[in-house]
Amino acid sequence: MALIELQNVTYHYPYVKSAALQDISCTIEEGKFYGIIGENGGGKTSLCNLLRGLIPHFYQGKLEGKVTIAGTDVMEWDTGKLAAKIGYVFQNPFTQISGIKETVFEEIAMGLENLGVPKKEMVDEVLRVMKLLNIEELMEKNPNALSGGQRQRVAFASILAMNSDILVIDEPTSQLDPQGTQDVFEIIQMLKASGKTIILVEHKIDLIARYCDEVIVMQGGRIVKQGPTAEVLSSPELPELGAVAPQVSQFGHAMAAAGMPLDHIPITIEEAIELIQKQKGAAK
Amino acid sequence: MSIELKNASFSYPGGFLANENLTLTIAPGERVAIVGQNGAGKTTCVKMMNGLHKPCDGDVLIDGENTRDFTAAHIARTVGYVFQNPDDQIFNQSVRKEIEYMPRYFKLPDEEIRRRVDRAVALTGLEKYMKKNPFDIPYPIRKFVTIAAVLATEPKYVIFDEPTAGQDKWGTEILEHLMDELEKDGIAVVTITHDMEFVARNFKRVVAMAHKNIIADGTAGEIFGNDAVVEESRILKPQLTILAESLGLPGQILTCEDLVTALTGLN
Amino acid sequence: MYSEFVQKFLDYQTYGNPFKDLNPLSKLNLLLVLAFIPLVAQHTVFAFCLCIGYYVLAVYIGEFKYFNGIFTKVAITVLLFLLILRQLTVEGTTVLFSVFGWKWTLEAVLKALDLGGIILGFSGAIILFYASTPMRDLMYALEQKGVSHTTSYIILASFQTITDLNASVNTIFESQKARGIEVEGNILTRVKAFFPILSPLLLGAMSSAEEKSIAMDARAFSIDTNHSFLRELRPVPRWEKALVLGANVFFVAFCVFRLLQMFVF
Repeated sequence: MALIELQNVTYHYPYVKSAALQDISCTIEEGKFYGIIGENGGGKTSLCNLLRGLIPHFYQGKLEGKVTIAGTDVMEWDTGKLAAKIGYVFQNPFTQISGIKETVFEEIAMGLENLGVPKKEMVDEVLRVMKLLNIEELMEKNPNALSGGQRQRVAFASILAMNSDILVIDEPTSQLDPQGTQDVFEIIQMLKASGKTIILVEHKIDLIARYCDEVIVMQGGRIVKQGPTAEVLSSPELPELGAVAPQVSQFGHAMAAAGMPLDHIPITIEEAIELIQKQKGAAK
Repeated sequence: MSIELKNASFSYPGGFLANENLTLTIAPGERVAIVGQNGAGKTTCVKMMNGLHKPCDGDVLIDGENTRDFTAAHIARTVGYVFQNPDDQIFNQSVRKEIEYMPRYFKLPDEEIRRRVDRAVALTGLEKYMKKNPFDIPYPIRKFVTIAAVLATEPKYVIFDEPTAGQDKWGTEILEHLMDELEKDGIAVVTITHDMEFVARNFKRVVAMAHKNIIADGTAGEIFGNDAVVEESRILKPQLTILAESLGLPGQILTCEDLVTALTGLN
Repeated sequence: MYSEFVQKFLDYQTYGNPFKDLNPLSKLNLLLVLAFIPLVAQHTVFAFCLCIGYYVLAVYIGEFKYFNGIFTKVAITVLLFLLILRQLTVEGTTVLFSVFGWKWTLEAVLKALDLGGIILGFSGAIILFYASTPMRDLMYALEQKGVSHTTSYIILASFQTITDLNASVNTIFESQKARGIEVEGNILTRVKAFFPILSPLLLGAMSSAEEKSIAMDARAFSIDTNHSFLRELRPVPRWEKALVLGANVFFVAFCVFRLLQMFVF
């Protein structure tokens, strides 16, 4: 089922001549995991703002085309209800801490307070999310005194606690170490398994390759490629579109150039192993 | 002549020990990646290298001079350090003014200022942003403004704190090219990073940190080939190293070329 | 089973001290009554006794250090200012001592103490209120009385910003040192470093304001449902209501008595 539908959307931020988004059409289906990749300044964050309804509710500017969220035109949505429906975690972890709570526990509970969740439920939910993100040891700490990586996880937890159906996540791992990043992807995978729809902006292409169902490539404010992950990421034109191909895909292209093409271009390690073994078998 | 950490330890005023007994030498012109999990003490370690932190125990010597005897601002002329967050540093109205600030501060002749700025700008690919207000350009590109501002001081050693975070293909390529150019000039580069593919492609020497200590110091091949180190420092092996290991290929495979050679060589 | 830390949220927030545990608004009401009494009473000795009373309360709630720190500063400033002012404006006959021919008189000192007592009696009550009430408890109580969630957020966040700025200054300090700007040393060096320190601070605060409002919107700040509270203060007990009512009735009666005293008798 189409959850969010964009039809020929063009958008200008206020007082800016050039369009931040140009002729965007795409469909976000329920329960799928989307990866948005591409160059910086190419419109990834603007697309997130649009999907989250911040364009046009928060940013004024000029919006053309049609945006439908869960069957209702975005203009008719109440901003508060939209916030509850679509969770949004964005890049800078420093601005996402409320600044008015004295402990991480209270910080994570804040969204639930706003939603009017009864206290007992609120406490259980916060505990559950902290356990999920493995940040229980931060519980009693002051959120204003955390490191970038810790804040990033607390910001993520604060949105997860609100249990929205759709999650728009803009580079949630930029401050995290490789293991921490891997953990976040595992959690997103779990959220997807529980039926949530996920839209993720990330530069870490190898993880996009492993986890996403669909990939959207953005360049110069346009969607220049979209489709199933394997199809998009194995495409040889990816570098021209300002995106990096997964390591194993680059390897696949290099093998072809070296005169030993694999059956097709792999995007994950498992796939590559299979293809190499198949190639070896054929050679014998 | 080098940066030398000799049994250097550092604890924060509250008493929190962040680095314990570090011993490390960075030679001029060398390129070193520091890797390890969040909170392993990487940033504290590099802050000792430029005198922002003075060791509580042990010594840090920059070309033979003890950092205790000099201010951080003085040491900065030899060891430049680009902070993680560019917004903590930028204050001029245009990118050009920001990059010119330090050469002017040092009261260099106009010609020399121009030469340095041009060089720094060419290395960071900022040509088209020179007249813009730094706060009007995208965050990842703003990071290059602070890199250029530090390069314009022409230090002998440069430290980058997570320069790859949030960078796209363009940014990563600029960074790689910049490091190659600095190497040609004999300038040492120390980089903290979480991007292991970036490390595999660009660094011969890798220092792995975990729980306040240096747990390994060796070639990228040695570090990624050592399962115990990889696990303890919570880093990940590069994708193609994992692939090569699963295929049971011998040798240290880090990059695409390594792997293609290993496979095509087999047949 | 919850840990002690979590369990605390399920219970009402209490400090185990009857004065601190008063509802912030009751406390404010009681302290304001005390604050205005010296003004209505016009009795200097009483006013200074009241100040001693504040000290006793401060010790009782374990906030002596905080209270004393601020109160002493206020007291010295106010009294010094008034003493000098009164010496200049009040003509007295009883000379206490003279400084380079400037005669200090007892009458002027007494006049100064009259007004000083009123001011200190008032400020002491306010300082004591802040010493005994966390801002967030006050905001909670106000929200219960219908103050909007957003107003409450803005007030609390402004207080936090002041603390945050301190931390930012440190980071910016380090970051400017790291590229070679001297920030330590003589006055001139420090003055030169002023701009590179202040600008990122202000620019940072401004640019983060927009993102912060998006972040708070993402936490459903603008949703139109009744909020719930993780930290709840105890409901106001009946004796507390009675106490506040009693104090107010007494105060009004006292005011009426003073007015009659002034105009009728």
